[in-house]
Amino acid sequence: MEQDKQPGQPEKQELPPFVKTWKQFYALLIGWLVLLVLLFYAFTKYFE
Amino acid sequence: MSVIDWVVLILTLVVIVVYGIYKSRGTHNIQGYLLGNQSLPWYHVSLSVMATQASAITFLSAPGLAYSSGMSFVQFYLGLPLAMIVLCITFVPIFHRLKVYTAYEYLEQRFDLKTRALTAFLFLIQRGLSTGITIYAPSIILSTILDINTTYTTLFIGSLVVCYTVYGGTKAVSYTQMLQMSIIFCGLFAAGVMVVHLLPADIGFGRAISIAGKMGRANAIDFKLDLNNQYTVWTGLIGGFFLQLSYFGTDQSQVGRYLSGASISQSRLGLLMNGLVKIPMQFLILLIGVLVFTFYQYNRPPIFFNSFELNKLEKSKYAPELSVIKADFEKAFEEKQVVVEQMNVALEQDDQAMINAHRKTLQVADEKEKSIRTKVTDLMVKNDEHANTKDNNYIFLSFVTQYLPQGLIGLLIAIIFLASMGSTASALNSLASTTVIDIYKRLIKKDASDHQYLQASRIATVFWGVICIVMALYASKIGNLLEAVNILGSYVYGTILGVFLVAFYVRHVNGRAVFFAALAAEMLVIVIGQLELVAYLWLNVIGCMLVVVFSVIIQKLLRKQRITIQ
Repeated sequence: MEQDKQPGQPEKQELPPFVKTWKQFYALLIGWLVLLVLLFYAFTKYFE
Repeated sequence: MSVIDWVVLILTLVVIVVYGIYKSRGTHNIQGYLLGNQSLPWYHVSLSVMATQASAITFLSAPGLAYSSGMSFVQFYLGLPLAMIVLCITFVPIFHRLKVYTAYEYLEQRFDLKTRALTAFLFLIQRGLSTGITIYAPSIILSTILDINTTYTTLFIGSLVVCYTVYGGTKAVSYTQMLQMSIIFCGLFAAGVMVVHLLPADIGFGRAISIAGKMGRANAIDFKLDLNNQYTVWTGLIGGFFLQLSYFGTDQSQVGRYLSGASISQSRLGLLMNGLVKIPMQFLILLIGVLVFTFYQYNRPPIFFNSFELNKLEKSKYAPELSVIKADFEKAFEEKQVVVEQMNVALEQDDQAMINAHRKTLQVADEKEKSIRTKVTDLMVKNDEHANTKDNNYIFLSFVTQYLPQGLIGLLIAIIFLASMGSTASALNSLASTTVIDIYKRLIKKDASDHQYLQASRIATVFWGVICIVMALYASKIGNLLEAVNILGSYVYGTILGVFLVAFYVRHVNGRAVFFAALAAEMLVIVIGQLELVAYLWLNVIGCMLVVVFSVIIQKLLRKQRITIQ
């Protein structure tokens, strides 16, 4: 949970969850965006 | 509102404020007050960022917008995930490593003091004015719904926010926002479930959207390249990207949120989660508006949703004309109801030919209803040229107060208060940070103790709180102040983003060049804006581009001048 940072404490270099690198996480987000656009397009076409 | 609703409303607000104050106790230094000791986990950052962006108007306007023109507004947010990625790659690591309190502090390290002071000053003016509107806009709506004078709702929202923001600083803002967002999600989910529940027995969730879709309300995506259309995939991806990047990257009210993350990773994760959740969240809010639209195909809607303006017209000399229009509206609604039922049967039988035929009839009926409503607004303007003829913000609240059960009404009114408080608290905190760190500490009193800076931050929060409340009270006297503030934002945002982009990506440009470039760009933007050469939203892009181009040119000229002198 919450932990106050002490002065001079080195920056934590944590990895993102689910994937191995931040680049993969960014790719995941772009993929999610593409998926949403496709889903919304399908939604529009199905209900119009 | 019933007693139960008042109890729910007051209890929700009290619990949130007490929780925020309790969780932020023990804030004794400036780092804790302005950055929450950079101790907050990613989910805090994410919810805080969302609560800062989502003002009360977001929850009022979006369902109303879906009701009137469909779901195309969701495309406005398509650029947001891309902006989050750029922020995570560039802005977040730099701000964290340099351990800055404000975004403008970085500009002194990269350029010089005058560039920092200029951007901080532009931010203070823009944010200081717009925060007044953040308080005022929901106040006027709530005063209409609750039948209380705007002054009281404005003073209530404003002073409540000032109290916990002054006491607990960033931590109080973040903790209250986390709880606020949780209540907002629960309240909106309950409202969505209730709308479906209130529909006729044979109309399920899917059928409700189908009926609305046949009347053009399920238009979530539009791939057409149309420059005059505000909401398409392309305007969302390109225009939205620039807008979100400038907002999240250079507006201290957002920068302050993600700088409170425990590490670069926690801040990054908070922003990326915002990128994951924001678009589906907006989609669901719009979907509630679509469901409300279908609900009103089976239940006669008011001819105008702002009851205050309608009552005014009913008491005027135009009352007889209004009665005639109302009769027309009722007749048109009854005719439309028959076609809606026929459409339902056609959908049940999956009869494509009938669906197509009824779709056209329904669209004509929908247009007829809109034109009748226009007659009412025309009459309103005749009666009072300052009348508020837009009722989008009142559609969802009108439905809530008329049809939802006791208790839920109180909760949903609380949501409007909470959303307003969340974005106002962030704004006050960021205004205090910028005033103390970029102006007071840097230009006025350089060697004060940590305690003195903490006290100065609290005084600055109160100062800006008072300014914003006064602005909100004054806003009721000026009709188009909301638009004026939006225009002012567009005058400023582009220039500030341009300075940051030069700082990050055009490494050879120095402080002198970018400062004069920013001044020249700002002056040109003001001239272009005053001459109304383009729609004001384009000023963001123009300001940003001008700073980048001017910086490079001025840098070259300065280098040539130096060579000549040598």
